[in-house]
Amino acid sequence: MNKPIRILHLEDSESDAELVELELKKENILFEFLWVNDKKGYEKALKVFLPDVILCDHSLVSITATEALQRINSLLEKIPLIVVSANESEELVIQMAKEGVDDYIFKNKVRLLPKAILSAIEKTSNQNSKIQYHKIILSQEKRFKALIENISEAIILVKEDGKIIYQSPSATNVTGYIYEEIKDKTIFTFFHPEDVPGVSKFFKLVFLKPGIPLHKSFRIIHKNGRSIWVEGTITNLLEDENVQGFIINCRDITERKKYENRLLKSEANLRTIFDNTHISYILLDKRFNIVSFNQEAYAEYLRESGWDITEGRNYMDYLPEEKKNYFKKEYILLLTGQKVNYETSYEHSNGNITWYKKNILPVWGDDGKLLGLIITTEDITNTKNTDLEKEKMTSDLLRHNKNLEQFAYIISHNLRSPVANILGLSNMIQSMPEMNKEDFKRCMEGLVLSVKKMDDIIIDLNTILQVKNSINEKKEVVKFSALVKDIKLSIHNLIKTENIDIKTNFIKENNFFTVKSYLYSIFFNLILNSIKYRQPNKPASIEITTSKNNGKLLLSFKDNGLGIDIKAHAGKIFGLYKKFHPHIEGKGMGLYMVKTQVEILGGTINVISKVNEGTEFLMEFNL
Amino acid sequence: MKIKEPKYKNTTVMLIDDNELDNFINEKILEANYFSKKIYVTTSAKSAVEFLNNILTIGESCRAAYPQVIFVDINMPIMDGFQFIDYYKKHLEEKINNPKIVILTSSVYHEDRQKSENISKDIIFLNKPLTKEMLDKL
Repeated sequence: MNKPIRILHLEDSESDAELVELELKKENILFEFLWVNDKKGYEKALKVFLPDVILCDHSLVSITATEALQRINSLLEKIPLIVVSANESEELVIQMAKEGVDDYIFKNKVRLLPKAILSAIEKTSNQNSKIQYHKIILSQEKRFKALIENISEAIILVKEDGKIIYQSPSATNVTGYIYEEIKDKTIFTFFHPEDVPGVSKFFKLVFLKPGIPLHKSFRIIHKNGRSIWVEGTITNLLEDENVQGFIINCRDITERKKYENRLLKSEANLRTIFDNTHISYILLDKRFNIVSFNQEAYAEYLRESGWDITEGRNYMDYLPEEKKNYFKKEYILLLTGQKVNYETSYEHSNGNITWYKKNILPVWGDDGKLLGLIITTEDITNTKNTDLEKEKMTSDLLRHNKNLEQFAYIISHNLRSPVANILGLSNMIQSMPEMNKEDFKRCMEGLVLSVKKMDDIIIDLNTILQVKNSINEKKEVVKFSALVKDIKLSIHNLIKTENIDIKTNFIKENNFFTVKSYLYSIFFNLILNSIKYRQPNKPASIEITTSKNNGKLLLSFKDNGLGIDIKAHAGKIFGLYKKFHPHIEGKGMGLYMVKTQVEILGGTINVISKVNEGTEFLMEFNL
Repeated sequence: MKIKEPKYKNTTVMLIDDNELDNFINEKILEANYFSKKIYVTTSAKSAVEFLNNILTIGESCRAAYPQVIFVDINMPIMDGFQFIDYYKKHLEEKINNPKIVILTSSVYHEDRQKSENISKDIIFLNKPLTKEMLDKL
């Protein structure tokens, strides 16, 4: 023995205790000895000293051997107790044996004590390990039973032919049947008829793989007649002597299956909505990888950009170089919480234009970090066209309204002027009968002049009205080069005598689908103006060029003439009867007509000019 | 019989109109109604400005030449009636004894009348032709 035997001696006589210790020391026993002489010391020693064996006098004042024995019987582990007493009464020895002491040694025979101690310890230790073992077995069994009975998992054991030879009590929770009801029946009668072929096939697979649990879910018919979903494993343990069959482990997953089906259905519904909406969606992660997109998106990107978008590829890879930075800027805007949406259009080879509204939406996680982006694209061609039409109608209306106002002004102002003169002159003739001949003559001349002026204005107004009313003139392709050539021909004398240099550059755009007579009139008026208002001591030069910008035709007319003081005449340059060079004859109708005709052709006109340097008219038309 | 000097309403008035026929009519009406002893006629606002500046430089001796009424047309090239009034208000008004400013125009366009009122209520807005009744009220 390696460990010293801890011996507790309960004895009120110190000399007796010493005697015992001495006797023990004679033997070759390794031990620790503790002597206590009362109940209190005994109790304490039991807790602290943890004795392997107890030696005890039969009766002490504070405690008897019987009491000492009862005290240790209440302990978990048995500690052997040997009575060492001077009392040699036979009855007492028998009684103590009955009570369960392990030995009884008379004090005059303490030499027998070492042997008795060793044998009592051995006996007790055997007993102790047996108790321990039983305890373990018992608790394991209990646990196992509890497991099998209380788990929701059914364990069913079937033979090779499918006959049920065991089911755990918990199986009743799953199938509704108690063991007696299904005993010796074949397991296949309980499967859902539709699943029988599948499960049979599965059994064959399990058969081929002994010892390996294989997973499967299938339906069985519950005792209540309903079909339920179960999921579990079947293990081939035919070769295991203790089992000799298949072990089926399964549990009810009907509820879960229901949820799963519901989920699948709702996912399918969502997908259906996702794929059938007319808005295209692309979902990107935060590194712009394409996570998902709907059918509309695929079709749209293929149609408009020729992109074959694929899940997992990076959106940036599709973007042309010049758009990459633009996209990154939008991304930064999104990060700062701003909305990004814009309208864009694609022109098709047949000339149709499709308009899209694009929205880039950020997807934020719960932690406030960006998870990704959603790019939506909506075809708004119809709305856009309606809007554009509305816009055009509104601007047409506004223009008409402005023209009417201008007319009202012309009538109230320009037409009123000769009328006022006629009134004034006739008043004079009436109220001044003694007027001299010369004045009278002047009055008559004034009347004639005023009436003629009125007539001129009425003719002018008629001309303007005619132009404004013929909006539906036929359009045709007009070549600028040919147009200028025609005009040059019609005024070739003027060009020659006045030494006018007309330079043209129509390389960028020489064709314009428009109303030829208006374009002719615009060119004619502008060329004539440049000639009329040229600088007297400088050879006049006119430059006419065309260019294209954003689908628009830009037309520039530039001369080196007198120029107009734009600041002083702001807002009047294109007004009717506005003249800026009073010494040169003119009605003040040319630029008014030019602007009217440019606008009728759907264009705009602007002017840049510097006095004594020249004038440039810039026109813009939709191609 | 002694011919009595007719009694003039004003000593000096000014007419600014680019249309000579208008000037003719207006001058005759003013004369017939003894509206002013002297009538300065100019065909542009620019020359009117030059004239007024000139008599100002001459100074006190020329005081009799300061017009008491200025008739001005609106629609004129280079400097129109409103531009003239603007210049006049800024540079001349106080120096030449606050003459009456009368806009005399053929325009019956309400915006012109509005514009005149916006500049000052003191400006009199008259539509051509000028009549005796109008002059009596001035």
